[in-house]
Amino acid sequence: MGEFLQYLVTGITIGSTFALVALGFCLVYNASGIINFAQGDFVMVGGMSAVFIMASGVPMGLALFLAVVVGGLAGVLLYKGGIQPATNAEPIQLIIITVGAALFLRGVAQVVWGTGYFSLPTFTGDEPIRFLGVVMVPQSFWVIGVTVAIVAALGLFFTRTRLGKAVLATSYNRDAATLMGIDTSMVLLLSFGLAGALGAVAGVIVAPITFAHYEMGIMFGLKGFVAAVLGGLGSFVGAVAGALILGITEAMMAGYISSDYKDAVAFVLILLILFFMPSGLFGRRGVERV
Amino acid sequence: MKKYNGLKVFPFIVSLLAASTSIQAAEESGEPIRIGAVLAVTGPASFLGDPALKTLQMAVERWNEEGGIEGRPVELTHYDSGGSASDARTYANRLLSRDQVDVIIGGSTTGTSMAILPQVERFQVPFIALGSGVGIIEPVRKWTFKVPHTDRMVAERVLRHMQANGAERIALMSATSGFGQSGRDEMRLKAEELGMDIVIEETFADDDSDVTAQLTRIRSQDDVDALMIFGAGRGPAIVARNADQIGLNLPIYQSHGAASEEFIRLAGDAAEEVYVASAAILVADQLADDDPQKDVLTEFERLYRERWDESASAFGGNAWDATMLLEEAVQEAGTQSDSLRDAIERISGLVATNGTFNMSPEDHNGISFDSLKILQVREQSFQLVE
Amino acid sequence: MSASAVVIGTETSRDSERANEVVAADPVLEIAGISTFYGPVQALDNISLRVPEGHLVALVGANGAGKSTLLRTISGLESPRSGSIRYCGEDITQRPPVRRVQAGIAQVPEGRQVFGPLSVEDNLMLGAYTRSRREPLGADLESVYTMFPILKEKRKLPAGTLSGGQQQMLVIGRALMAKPRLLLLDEPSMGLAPLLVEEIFATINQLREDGITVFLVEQNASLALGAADYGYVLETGHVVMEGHGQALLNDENVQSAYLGI
Ligand SMILES: Nc1ncnc2c1ncn2[C@@H]1O[C@H](COP(=O)(O)OP(=O)(O)O)[C@@H](O)[C@H]1O
Ligand SMILES: [Mg+2]
Repeated sequence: MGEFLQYLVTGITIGSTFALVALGFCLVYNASGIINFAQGDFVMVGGMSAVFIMASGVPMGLALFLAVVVGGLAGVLLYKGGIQPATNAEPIQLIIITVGAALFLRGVAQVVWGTGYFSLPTFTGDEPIRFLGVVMVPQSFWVIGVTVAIVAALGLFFTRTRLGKAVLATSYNRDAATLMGIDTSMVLLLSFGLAGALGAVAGVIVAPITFAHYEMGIMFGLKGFVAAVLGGLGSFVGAVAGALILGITEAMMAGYISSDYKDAVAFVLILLILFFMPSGLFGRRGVERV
Repeated sequence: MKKYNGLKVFPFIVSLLAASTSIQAAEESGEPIRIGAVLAVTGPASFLGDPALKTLQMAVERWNEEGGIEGRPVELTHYDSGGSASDARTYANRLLSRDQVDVIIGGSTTGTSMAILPQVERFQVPFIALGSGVGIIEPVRKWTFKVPHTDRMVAERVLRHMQANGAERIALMSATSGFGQSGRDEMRLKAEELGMDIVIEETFADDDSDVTAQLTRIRSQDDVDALMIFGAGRGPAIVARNADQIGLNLPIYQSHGAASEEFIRLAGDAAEEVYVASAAILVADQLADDDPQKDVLTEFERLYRERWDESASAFGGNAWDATMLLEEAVQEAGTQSDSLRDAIERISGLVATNGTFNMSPEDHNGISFDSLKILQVREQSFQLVE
Repeated sequence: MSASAVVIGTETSRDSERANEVVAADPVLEIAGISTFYGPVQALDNISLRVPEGHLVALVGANGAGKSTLLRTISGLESPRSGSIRYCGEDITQRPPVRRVQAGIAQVPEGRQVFGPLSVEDNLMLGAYTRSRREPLGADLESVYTMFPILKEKRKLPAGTLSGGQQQMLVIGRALMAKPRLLLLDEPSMGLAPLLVEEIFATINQLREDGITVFLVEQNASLALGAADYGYVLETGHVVMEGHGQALLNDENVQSAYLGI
């Protein structure tokens, strides 16, 4: 039992970070119909910025906040510099632009910050908390707590605010949204900025656990993408569910079967989903796609 | 030299004469010595490739400042493999066929070294590998040499230390990378030879952010005496931290993949009391004054710090040793590939950062297992234990 | 200049009276020489027309004639290559679409483009997106619900679950929430059962009675021209005829081409 709970806690912690990345994928996908392959690298931008802003003497809280702002700016820049100028490009061309942006971000990070690993202090100490035979480090609470708070805030944003609904309307039908007087390019800008900030939040909260590295975004991008696809690309609830399923399954696999197969989990899950539920766990049904 | 291969259609003696006269001409006119390098400067193994490249650049600068080797300037051509074996193969080919290098230094990882190896054997150009896997020099290949201690030596060193401290039943946690897999195989092999038991094996990926699940399995296994972690880069620090967090109460050993200050910096308090198998470079100042390695190490560390403003690592040390081997062989035999190769194979008693090199036709590594040290982290620094 | 349109219906005195009245009223919308292209394909060729204040003007034409393209150009979703669009006396040819909506141009796009996963009420509220945040919308919402009671019943349901007729009501209601000065309707009868078509047209008539200027685009020529004060006939990007609605309906050419008579 103790073991099971330990695997569960580990899985939820890892899954939470995947969720933030997956939500970023959804935001951009909904708003623009493209898969942003630089999403994982926003995680890196957040983590690395936090490390270096703090190293320059800025107090921790402010440094973390600024790092998230930097992530948001990276998203805005990607839109302004890469996506918006290519107005009439096909989705596939835009996707290639995001791949280029990912390599660019990695390259810049490598030049500016080097290729080392950097650790960020945990937010509130290192003393593990033990209950029912489960060990949990305080940072795990931060990871899970921040993710829950962000998911809740996004939920409120999309169901309770005019702007949130305008973003959704844009994602469902861009022309019709324009006819409502919604500035859809502003919505796109906002979505990219939000996606960048979400990635950066993930980077900031995991950097104390996994260390920041200029290539840390590759793994997060991959896992976040798998989670988003599991949830039915575009569904926010689905993205969170997909991320938790992925994180927990990986932990259970490593715990009960063998860590050798852990990394195959993502691919097996994707294949199963594509095979049995092509639109994902929470994918939009045809009816709703008017 | 590859460019004389065409002459092999002539009778042997003619080709030999032709080759030696043109070499003579080349050397008199100060034809540069061309070093090719394929290193993992970016990618997950950048912690290996980056200091190695810096070391090579520093060595080449120094040679040229001093008027070259035997009066010939030295040229370095470098390609970044990113840690990818197929890129390493491509770049090795380019160095050999297009850039016409006299020697290749590189292959930061075991995987990339193994990818370069068939190319140099085909082109018949000496290769000094920086990967640690024993497979690089076993079986011995004519043109391939290697600097770092093998993972087999590391396994033996660690297991003997465990055994001497009463640990017979071992948990093994290895990376899924080539480095980790080769290390795991060597651990199995040596454990059997020494009559020890590996009672549980777990793996982790280099980019895993949490290995608590694997460690929980190890913790729930009774009667384990010690844990060996075989990995490189950030992974070993994550394992050490998670082990500390779940309160895993075992002596922890790390391979030479964790032998850098970075391991302590990343693992922080969780690094305390962890044993690390390493070349002597990390504890150069703790060596006895009459230790022959002490001067070489202190000199390299000083030069590296002056040039790059950061502390030298064992990975830079490997590249430094490669340049020492090369310099000695070129001084003795020039750069004609057969003679250069033979000269490398004849090197003996060369004191370098990894130990004293005694190459032979049977041993293309040339250093012995006891030049490998066991260190322990105490108060956030490496202490020489054995 | 391509061949100018034939003007029909000035023969009878009553018709000419109506037509003169239409021509005399201040135009809300005045289009002059608009040509719009999709890449190399020309969809509109030198279109000129006017929609006077408080009237219902219809544009009829077969599938592919360019009706939707014209409405999209008026709303700013497509940019014309040449020509000008004047709205309430101002040239809006270069204005971004959002500012045209803010100025009171609402379009009901063809094919009932509801925001499927959003609730009926959310759809309606999005119609009022450009209106000030502080403006109370409750009364307008109620008047849409009075016009289409079924929408009130289903206001919490996702719009995608409504029937075709209900969705058409929703998109009209959504456009009305913007309190438009000019309402553009793109084929509101398309794909609906005759009974529903009648209901929708009754609503459109009511809107005109309420003083909203309507520009209606339809394939169903008899219905549209029957309801319209003035009409235009579009053929492959050209306006080929114009005149009072009823007069156009009585025209032989129109009857043979569009009414199958
Ligand atoms: N997005 C588009 N790209 C290229 N051609 C288009 C596009 N939309 C419409 N067209 C073409 O423009 C012409 C007019 O189309 P449209 O305005 O939709 O006609 P209508 O609404 O009268 O049926 C048609 O020939 C159609 O094929
Ligand atoms: Mg149409």
